[in-house]
Amino acid sequence: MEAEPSGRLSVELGYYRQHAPKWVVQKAGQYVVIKNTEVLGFYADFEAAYRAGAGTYGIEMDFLVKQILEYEPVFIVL
Amino acid sequence: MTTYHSPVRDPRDLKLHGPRLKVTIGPPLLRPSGGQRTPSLASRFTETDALIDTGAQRTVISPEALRKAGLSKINEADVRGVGGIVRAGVYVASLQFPRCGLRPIEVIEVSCCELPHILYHCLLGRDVLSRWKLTYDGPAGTWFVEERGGAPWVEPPEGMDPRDPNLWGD
Repeated sequence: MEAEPSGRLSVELGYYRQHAPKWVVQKAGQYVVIKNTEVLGFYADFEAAYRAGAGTYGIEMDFLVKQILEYEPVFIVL
Repeated sequence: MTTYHSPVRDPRDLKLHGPRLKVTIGPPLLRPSGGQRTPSLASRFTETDALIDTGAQRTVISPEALRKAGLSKINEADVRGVGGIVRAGVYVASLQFPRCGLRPIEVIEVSCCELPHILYHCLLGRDVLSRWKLTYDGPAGTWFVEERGGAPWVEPPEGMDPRDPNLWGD
């Protein structure tokens, strides 16, 4: 299995990494929506977070929807 | 209850290739404000073969399927396959199951990686299987999926918002 090229969302992922230690304490388990360096909000589940982002930025746009977790999960695909 | 039975084939086919299903991958099934469809999205729903993969924690699509569907990126995640761990893009999609009667999944996260087989461009993982009951009959070479819940999703007429509660009545 090979990875696809990266680059998209690098600003948002950098912003997330910068703020994650604080959010893990305050918002663990919630989903954050970030576009560029703007935080749209925190949401209880993925679908609510995505719909909020799509309603604000449109479904054609990239924006980060990320669950706030202490450890990044590794997804198993065998 | 909706039930989809796989086509009856030579049992060796199921043993060799696994349970496969047609899937239409496209952008999320959301309506822009105002209830109007975005015409440019219509051509991006692409039908392909998917492998039902109980070993996959999450649904995965190939880069070719991603390119055809033009999905928006929402995250990155580490994915561990037989070849090790790769950093994969995570995209938001819809999955429809044409001619099966199974309900579409309007919004789902999918990871994108090179897949090991050219026959399929999608692995349907346990995030999808959590919605279904899957029965695999190896000796007969068949399998079937049962889905609890209401009637299959039907595309409402143009201009109607499927989330409008007045559309469906009680």
